[in-house]
Amino acid sequence: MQEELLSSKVDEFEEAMKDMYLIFKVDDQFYGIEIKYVIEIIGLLPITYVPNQEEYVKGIINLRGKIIPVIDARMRLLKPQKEYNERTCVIVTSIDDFLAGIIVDHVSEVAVINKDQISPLPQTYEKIDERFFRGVANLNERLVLVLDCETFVKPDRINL
Amino acid sequence: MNEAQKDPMLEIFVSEAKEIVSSLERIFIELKEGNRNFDVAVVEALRFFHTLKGSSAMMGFEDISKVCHRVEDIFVCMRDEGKLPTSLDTFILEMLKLIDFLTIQINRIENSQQILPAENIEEVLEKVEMSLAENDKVQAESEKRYHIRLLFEEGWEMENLRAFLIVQNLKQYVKVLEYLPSDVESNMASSEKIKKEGFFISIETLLKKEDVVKLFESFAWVRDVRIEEVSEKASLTKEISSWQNAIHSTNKLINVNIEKVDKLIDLIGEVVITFSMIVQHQRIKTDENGSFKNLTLQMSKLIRELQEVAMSMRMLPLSSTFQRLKRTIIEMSAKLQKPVDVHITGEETELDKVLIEHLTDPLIHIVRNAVDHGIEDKEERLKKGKGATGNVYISAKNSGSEVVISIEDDGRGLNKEKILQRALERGLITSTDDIEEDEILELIFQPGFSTKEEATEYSGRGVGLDIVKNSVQKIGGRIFVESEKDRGTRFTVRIPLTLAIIDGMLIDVDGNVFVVPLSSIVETFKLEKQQIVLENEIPFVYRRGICFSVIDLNKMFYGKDMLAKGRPFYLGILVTNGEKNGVLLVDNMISQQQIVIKTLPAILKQVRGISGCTLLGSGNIAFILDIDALLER
Repeated sequence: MQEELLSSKVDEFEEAMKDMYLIFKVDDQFYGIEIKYVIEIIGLLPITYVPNQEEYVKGIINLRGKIIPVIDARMRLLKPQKEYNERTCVIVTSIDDFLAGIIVDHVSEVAVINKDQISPLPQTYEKIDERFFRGVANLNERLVLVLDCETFVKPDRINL
Repeated sequence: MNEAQKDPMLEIFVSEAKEIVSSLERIFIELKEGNRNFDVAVVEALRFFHTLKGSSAMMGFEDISKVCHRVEDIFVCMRDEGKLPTSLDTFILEMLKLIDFLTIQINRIENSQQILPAENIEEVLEKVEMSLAENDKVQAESEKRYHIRLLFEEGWEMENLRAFLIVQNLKQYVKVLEYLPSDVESNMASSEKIKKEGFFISIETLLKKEDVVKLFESFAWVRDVRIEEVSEKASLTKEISSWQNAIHSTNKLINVNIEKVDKLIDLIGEVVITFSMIVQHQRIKTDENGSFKNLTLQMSKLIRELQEVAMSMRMLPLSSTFQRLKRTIIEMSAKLQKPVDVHITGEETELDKVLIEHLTDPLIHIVRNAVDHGIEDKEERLKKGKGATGNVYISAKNSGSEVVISIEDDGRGLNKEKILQRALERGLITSTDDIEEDEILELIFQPGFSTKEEATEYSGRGVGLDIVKNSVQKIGGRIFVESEKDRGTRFTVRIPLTLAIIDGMLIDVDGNVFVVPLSSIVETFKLEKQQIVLENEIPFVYRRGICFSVIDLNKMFYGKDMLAKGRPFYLGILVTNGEKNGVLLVDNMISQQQIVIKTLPAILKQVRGISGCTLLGSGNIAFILDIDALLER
């Protein structure tokens, strides 16, 4: 009985989180990822380089005793590299129990984007990796590119 | 769901029920193997079913207690009326089905799912009941045989002579057939054995059980008498093993939530790190009179011991896993009509509980492959001049900081041509030309290699060896395959003992800190420039008449040539994996300390030569070198 109550609470919680997105910025473009994946947002920690990784995998960090990989959103989106500054931060995400950090220029806010607000991107442009994008949403006259967090964070060929 | 929200009663029930079910499984498998006396097995199984019936009824799981009740009736019938199943083999297989059903029920309870109604197992129960009804054992009205185990009071010493005294005394009343240890009158060492395991006697008599027990009352040093009536041919030696199991299971054990143990181990890991920071603290390093140093030395001994105890808490023998493998083989062998013998060695080898859990399914998969694809049909085997019965050898042993598990069959072996052909079909390779002989077998671990074409009940469900490899790698292990046509196939799995703590040497390579496991270091030395031979850009180190290849970590991991630094000398570390040697060139040796191994995040690509990482006192991350892999290059 108690368990049922609990699980219905969890459902409610997930329901409430469903359409919420964390909006961040790379260059002047806004991007959004589903808030349910986000654990926390931290400042940049010292990164230990790991050999033999994709270029966008910057290395690993020590987050209070947990070792987690960090990927550079900018490089994952095939944009030119830029030096990190004090506004640079890391969005710590959890997908199927795998923690990973995404390095972004800066985090702006949490916003609600309904499914019907998202319209698909036009067919391939050369420098766009379509797998990452669920579409684009118009949020108070700001265009937000909605990312698919799983494909964005998980490597193309996963080595589990 | 959070651990704290679980009902503790339910937790206890589940953990007990699991234990009961696995004990039951063991009983029936040993019965099948002929390693257990039937009557003893019946009594023991009955006891387990009875316990499970009671506790599940108490927890309100009627469907479980109903089933147990039915089974109990069957077993009571066998015990008291001497009824026997028509075919022992079918009986055992049906009982295993029933145990599976109970296992599913318990798992469902654990995961807070609805349990299945008892009707689902009705068919099996009816079969078992029917098989009993047809058969009535003729009760022999002759002398009965009893197996007896005596436990002696502690502190009396000379147990062997006391045992001998009992035997002599007993001979007046009953026919003593056998006793173990059998050399009590001459061998003082048997005293220890009796202290530990008890004294075993096999007798034949017309006396009733109760009267036999009374015979021992006159001996003050007898603490406990356990007596079983046995059938004609039961041998004492075989039975002892089942009794010993029973003794072991009454060891003083408590159930501890594994999360608490994990937390404890984590905390100790933190203590280790913090302590290494203390040891390296300037104030202690420069301590003049050495009193602090002595204290830290003592402290480090204590911490090490603490660690060992904590780690050992999570260690479990592989026996239950091997038992499941054995069971899988027995069932398959019956269904596929392929006689197979299972040979198990080293089942007492211990491994971290968590690792064992991750390992069971991959091993079952390999065993299934062995019986299904590896071992040929009877006719084919006879044609090839092999014995009609196939063999599967399962073994485990410790090797350094690893446990090596191997599963070997004497079947037809892997067909290299077929593998190549399939790999071509599946587009895993583009041509058969540039593939090395030893790479062919590796292909079977490729994702997409598995095929559903040959689907049988046991394999070809689309789950391939790639999944097996992945699960082994997930726990930091490695898997190898060897095979010879018509001779058989061997899978070897090497797994680190535990998510452990090792002794390591911290080294500095161009500003990057690495950990070399101390166990692989032979020696360290200063290396003059002229001791390094450079032939065609490939460096060697010449030392005491032997040439060692140089492993340039800087080049390997960071693409920078270590020798390009042009230093007058380096530090060399001679490392070995027992077979091969190599020399690491390093800038500096930092310190020697205990290292808490952490795995690299799974979503990173594996780095050859790095087995994991650790946190340093400073909070920085250092990679742990995989010496085996480095030397393989």
